[in-house]
Amino acid sequence: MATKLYWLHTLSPTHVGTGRGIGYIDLPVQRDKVTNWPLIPGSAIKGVWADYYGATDKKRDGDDEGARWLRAAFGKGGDDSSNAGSLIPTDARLVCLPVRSFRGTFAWCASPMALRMLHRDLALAGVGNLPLIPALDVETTVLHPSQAASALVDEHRIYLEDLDFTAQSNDEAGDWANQIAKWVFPGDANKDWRTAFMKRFAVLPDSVFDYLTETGTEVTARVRIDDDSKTVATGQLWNEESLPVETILAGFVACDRVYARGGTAINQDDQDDVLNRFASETMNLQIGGKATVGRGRVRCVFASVKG
Amino acid sequence: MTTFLELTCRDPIVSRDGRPFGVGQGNRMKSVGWLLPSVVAGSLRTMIGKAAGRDFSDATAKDLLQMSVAGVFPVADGRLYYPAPNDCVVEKPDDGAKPAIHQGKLEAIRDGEGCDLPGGLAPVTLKGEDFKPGPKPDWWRDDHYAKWLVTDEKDFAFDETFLQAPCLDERTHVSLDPAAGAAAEGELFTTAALAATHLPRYGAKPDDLFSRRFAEIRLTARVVADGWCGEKVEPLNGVHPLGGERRLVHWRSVAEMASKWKCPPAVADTLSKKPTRLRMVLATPAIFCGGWKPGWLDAELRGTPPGASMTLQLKGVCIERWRAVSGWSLAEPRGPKPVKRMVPAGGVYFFDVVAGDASGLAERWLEPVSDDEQDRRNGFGLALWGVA
Repeated sequence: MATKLYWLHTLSPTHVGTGRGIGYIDLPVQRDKVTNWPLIPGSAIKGVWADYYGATDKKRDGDDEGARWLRAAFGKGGDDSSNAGSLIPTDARLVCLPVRSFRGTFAWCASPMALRMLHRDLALAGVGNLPLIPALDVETTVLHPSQAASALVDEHRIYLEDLDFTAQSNDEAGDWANQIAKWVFPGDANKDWRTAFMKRFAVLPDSVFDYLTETGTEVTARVRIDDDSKTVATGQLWNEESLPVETILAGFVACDRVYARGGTAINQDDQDDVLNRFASETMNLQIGGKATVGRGRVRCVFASVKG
Repeated sequence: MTTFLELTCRDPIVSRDGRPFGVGQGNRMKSVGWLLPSVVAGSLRTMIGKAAGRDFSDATAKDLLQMSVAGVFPVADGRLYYPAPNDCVVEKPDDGAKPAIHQGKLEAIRDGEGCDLPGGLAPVTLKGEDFKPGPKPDWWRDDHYAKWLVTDEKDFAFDETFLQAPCLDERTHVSLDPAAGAAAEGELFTTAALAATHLPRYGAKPDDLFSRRFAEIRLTARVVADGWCGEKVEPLNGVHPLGGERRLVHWRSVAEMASKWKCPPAVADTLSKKPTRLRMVLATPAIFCGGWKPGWLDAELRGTPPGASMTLQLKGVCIERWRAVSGWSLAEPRGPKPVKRMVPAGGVYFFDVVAGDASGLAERWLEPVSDDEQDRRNGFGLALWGVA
């Protein structure tokens, strides 16, 4: 089955929620059941992806070439002529969480466990020659790329939120930063961003990363104003959680062979064509809820698994 | 041709129970506790059909249905895990001491005693005082299981090498009305799936390190296939959906997995000593035409398991309440499959050997004992054998 990587880069706080929470956060974000790290489900991506290509029911019903491709990629509803879409996105898993830094404004933080999971996902998708996972056994040390002058280091220390660490340069951290930067910020136009990413990439101890994924998300208190009194309506105060701006997540998308009842079969020879058509161009999407207050603006960048 | 597969999950895997889910039927999906064998078999057969570039005509479907697919079981730290046997009961002392492990035994009915079990079956009982059973680990490592099956001395304690059932991942979905930009009327539903990348370790505390709370797992399956199906299974290495919602899983054939599916030497040795009383533990749910009772037993509860060459007399049973299995047929007639009742995995059957040699059962390790041939090909009723 043909596959491609996709990377999500949040440009505004992004709320892919789970409904009503039972803690102090009324509207929490979706989290992985095992790691408890925030994630964006594949189902949240697929709908807006189809919308980006204008795959409305009406357009998918057409007889032209464009409609045929839309049906092939995103499927078609209906009782008698429904057929599954060939594109299958996985969930997007957290790779880098932006964390406030005393030097350099913010750091793009990963952890050995996050990189290990990324390594496994990339290997499953068919990516070869991946960097080694940096070793980090000391709870008070943060690794930064040895290949670039870190913007985070202040006299051999790195200060993130209210935590301070010993800074240590590391080759493997640099290899990962370099590789991720190429995927998330491809092309000449993003050269400065690649440099910025290298300078702000940090690998935190696993326990610190776990802590920051719980406490480092963006929680906004919101109210609804009563039209008549111009004060807060009774009971209309709530806290909603979002992934902060600059969060980086990764997943992969596969193109399945589809047998159509509606006449739009996708065979193995077509799979690369479908991916090239719908999974090549960088997309600016709106993912998740609260779109009317600017939430969920996300860059989606596709990358080949063959480097 | 027998091939052993390693499955690596990424996203939570949907394996629904038989309850209705869909428009007008219910908006809350329920998951079973572990992947049903038929879910694995169906996904693999679909993958092989696609890999071969075939359509799903009757001839192709017939060939695919001949494939025997067994599993899946978790593999953690290089060791295979089996579902907990039903004849294990845990007593958790009030004083916080380590839980005591009790094994159910057949209790002979004495003069003046009686019970209403059918066919003269004896009750499976525990010795000692009454107590309220405590929770036991859901998945046992192969070496612990071997000890459980052949010795009375349980020289192990439940520790972090035992694993719990996978975490359940419930998600709420809405369908957006493109015209309104808001949730479409009535289009709110929840899905449930199994987080099959890691299993929680038994006894782990919430503030433990991640590696002490969870064991990273792969899944393993065994496939017997001939002809073009076998040719496609042998070099398998790629991603394909498993279960509902088309969650992607990486499938790979791994020859080294073969040894994990063999009968452990300690069990094979014990079976070779001609024991007179045996235990059969179901490693996957079984489907019997008599409900709890295997169809290969006659009216006197005597018979020969499929593929074996000995006669057994059923003496006792220790199983949980039945569970349902259904499914959806994409072949004609398209639609829901009939509901069948399963004996859940972990069920224990006690037998006396009437004729033949139990040593041959080592070769029947993890072979199916369900009645219907297609259910056996679908992996229902894989059996583990031990002594009682």
